[in-house]
Amino acid sequence: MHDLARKPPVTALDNDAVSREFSAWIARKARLRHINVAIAILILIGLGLIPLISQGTYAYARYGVALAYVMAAVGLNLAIGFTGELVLGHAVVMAAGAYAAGMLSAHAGVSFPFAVLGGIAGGLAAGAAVMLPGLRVRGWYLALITMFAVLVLPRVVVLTEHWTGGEFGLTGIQPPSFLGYLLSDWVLYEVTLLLLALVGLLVANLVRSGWGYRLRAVRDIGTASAAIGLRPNRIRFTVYLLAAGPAALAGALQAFTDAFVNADSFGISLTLLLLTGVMLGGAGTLWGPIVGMAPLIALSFWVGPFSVYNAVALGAGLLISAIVVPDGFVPLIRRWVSRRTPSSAVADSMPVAPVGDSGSGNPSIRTRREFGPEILKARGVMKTFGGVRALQGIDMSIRQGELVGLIGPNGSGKSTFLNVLSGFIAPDAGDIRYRDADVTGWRVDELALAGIGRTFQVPQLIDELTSLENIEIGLVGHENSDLISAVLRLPRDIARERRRRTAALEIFRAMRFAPETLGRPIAELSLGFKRIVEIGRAAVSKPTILLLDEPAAGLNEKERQDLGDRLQELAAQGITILVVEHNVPFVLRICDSLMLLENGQVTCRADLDEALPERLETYLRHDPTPTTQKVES
Amino acid sequence: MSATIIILGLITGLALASIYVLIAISFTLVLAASGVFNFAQGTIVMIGTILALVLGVQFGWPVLAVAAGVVLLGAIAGVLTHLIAVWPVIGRTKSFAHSTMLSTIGLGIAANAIAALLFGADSQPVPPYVSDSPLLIGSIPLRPTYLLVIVVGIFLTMTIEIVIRKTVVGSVFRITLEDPEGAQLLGIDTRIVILLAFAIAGGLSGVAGFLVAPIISASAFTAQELAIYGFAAMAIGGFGSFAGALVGGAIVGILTGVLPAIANPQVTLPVLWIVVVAFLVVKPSGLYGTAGLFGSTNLREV
Repeated sequence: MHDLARKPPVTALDNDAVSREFSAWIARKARLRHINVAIAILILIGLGLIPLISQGTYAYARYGVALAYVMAAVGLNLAIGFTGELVLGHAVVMAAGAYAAGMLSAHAGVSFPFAVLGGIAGGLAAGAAVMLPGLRVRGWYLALITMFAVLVLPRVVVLTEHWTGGEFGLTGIQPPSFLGYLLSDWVLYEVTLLLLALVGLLVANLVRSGWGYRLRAVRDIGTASAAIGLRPNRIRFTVYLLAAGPAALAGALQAFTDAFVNADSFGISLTLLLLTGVMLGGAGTLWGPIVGMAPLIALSFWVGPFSVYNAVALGAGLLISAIVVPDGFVPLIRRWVSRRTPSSAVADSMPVAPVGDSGSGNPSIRTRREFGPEILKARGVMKTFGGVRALQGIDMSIRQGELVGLIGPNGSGKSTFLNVLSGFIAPDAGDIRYRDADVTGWRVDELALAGIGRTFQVPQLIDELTSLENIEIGLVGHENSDLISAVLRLPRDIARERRRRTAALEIFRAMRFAPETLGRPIAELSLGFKRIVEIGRAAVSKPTILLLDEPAAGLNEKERQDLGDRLQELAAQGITILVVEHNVPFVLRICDSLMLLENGQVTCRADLDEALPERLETYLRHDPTPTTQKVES
Repeated sequence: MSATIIILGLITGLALASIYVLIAISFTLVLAASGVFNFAQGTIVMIGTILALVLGVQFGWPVLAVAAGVVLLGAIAGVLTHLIAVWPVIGRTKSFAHSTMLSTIGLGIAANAIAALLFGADSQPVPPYVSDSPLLIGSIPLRPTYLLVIVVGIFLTMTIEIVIRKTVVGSVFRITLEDPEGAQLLGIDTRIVILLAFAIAGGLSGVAGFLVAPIISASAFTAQELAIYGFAAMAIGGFGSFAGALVGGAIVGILTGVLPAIANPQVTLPVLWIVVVAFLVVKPSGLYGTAGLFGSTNLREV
């Protein structure tokens, strides 16, 4: 802490430290990736050699089906782990894939590759139908309604027995052939293995791309992710399809592996197998589904697939994993390994707050700037909650480039007004003009993309990502969301990643974060740090206006000082800032002008370099909020 | 003739509805008091059906003693659910709702499988508690078992409703839900309230199993599905409202009672699924749904 504080403020040296830290972080990630690829290749070779030691149609069928289960779990992990959507209908997706592929082959004589493609299409359609309620309901509601679909499946199969074979199962599936060659059992097994590897690779690419940020944003930030220009429901629906893909493919392959499809194979027990596998291994990690499925599959090989002991083990496994290892085994192993290898990259005692610029009273910043035209105007904005009239006709305007403090007693409607301005709450009456457009009723993400950024009282960040990555997320909503280049990791996607990183690094330097924090998961850092990272995330997309909701709440003196400096620097760059704040000394120090909100109306507005109106003076004098022990509202 | 079939379907439906309402109320009680959606609730219904057979037929207890035993053991099962799957999770995870969902699913599945090991996987018939000779109302033969289920179901629902609405127990529940810390300041031990909710819900689910046993037989697996019907009733009626549970239960019960009588029985579940999905997509709060439970203003993670 001390030698950092002694360093001269922003110098080339600091930037070098950031670059060094950045390169080291990139190198660490690359090394980890190489290790992962090496492990994956070893596992692939090991599994690929199985036909040398164990043969027979029955054995291949069991191994092939086991691979299919892992593939489906990889898909499920995209929804449950990376996006936090508790969908339990993947057994139906697999069944739809299996029946669609099987029926195409058995009834229409469609060749193996096209039948598999048809199976994927069928599985995707089923997945979309089963998971659709997820756009409206969350949590256990979603879990139950998707689990319900698993119980419905056998009835639908019986009702359509003319095509599906009903209770007797679907038979007559042609042996798989490709370009005229019949694929023998072991070839089909190897094909399944290769496809599993391919699915794994595509998923790894996906979660590494901007889409990886989108998914995690929906999981950790939820509806607030609209404030960075994302559309959570659109992302959710895309994820349902993405998550259904591997399961649909797995089902189609299983149909050919077994040469038979029966609804019994796709019941609640399969749902639980997949769910337990993902949770046990580690939801939201790439290796999780593989690590979690392995022991469960081994058990079912040992006691037999129809043994009731499977269910005992699955249930107990899920219960124990939820209680004992809620994050799953992969994070556990990762922590264990990193504890054993002494970490040279990150010192233990590191400042969690950004290194402050010693010139905090920087006169060049404090000088009065010329403000531009009024760019954000509210007229007669009203909002009533039940019987409470939160906003009672707010009229106000903000000039381009100014740093406005919005102050007022608790319950005066400050946060509500901020939510109206950023689109989270629709006003009952009145209108809001931004630049020259009437933006009343615009969606949050539209406003965000138009240049109105905001932060939250409780920082909405993605815990597992680093500070730099969290800043990067601010740009994802502004990019083209094309999936193809993301899963294939095309040059286009790499270029996007590079652009994001460059911009985020620029912000990282401009906001003078301590270099050591660059590669650290944000969860390990302090509240004050998170606040500034969130502001950095909003600033990285170069917004016109920033709306900040109580950024100084809960910060200590030093952190508050840093925060104020950063805000003034942003304002000096021409970003207009509206900050809702309780702390009077803080707003007096940093703001150009103040607005007083009382009982849902702006009662006072004044520039701070002029004489303050009586009413504002009185409020500022009497505001009882102490500077150090503010209670967060 | 067909009118008779439909009326018989309606009676069956109302009997099933009583069961679904009891299950729906069990879910609601636990959720209201603790914020847990107990996926293992269906397991307690299953235990109720098996106890009806074991205590009533194998041990030969009188019906009322069986009923009392089922209530007691159901309540104990409820408390055990809390101790095994909920209590250890408290304060240990980022998302309590998420973790308890997984732990109660796990507990339910493991318990079902263990029941299947002990009891056998086949379903075994349970003789009716009242005379099996149909009562003729006009030309319609009514089975007394169904009437018993309807009467007991309505009685229990009304009792719970009155207790929650009118007595201090209800106030304690409401306060615990609205403001757990405030409740503690008032000297309410919220842990006891939560345990009580699990116990009452367990007792109710046990009774639901006991009542339905003569209709669907005792089995380690069948009763699981009843929990899904109970959920469907809640989803349609709207969560957290007694009126919603009653109306939703009636709709689901009548659908499941009448559809098999007039169409292919296999159609029932798919139709019900489509109805529930339609409700969730169009009106996620259901017919009578309120944001909070028991009129509270606190919105649980729903």
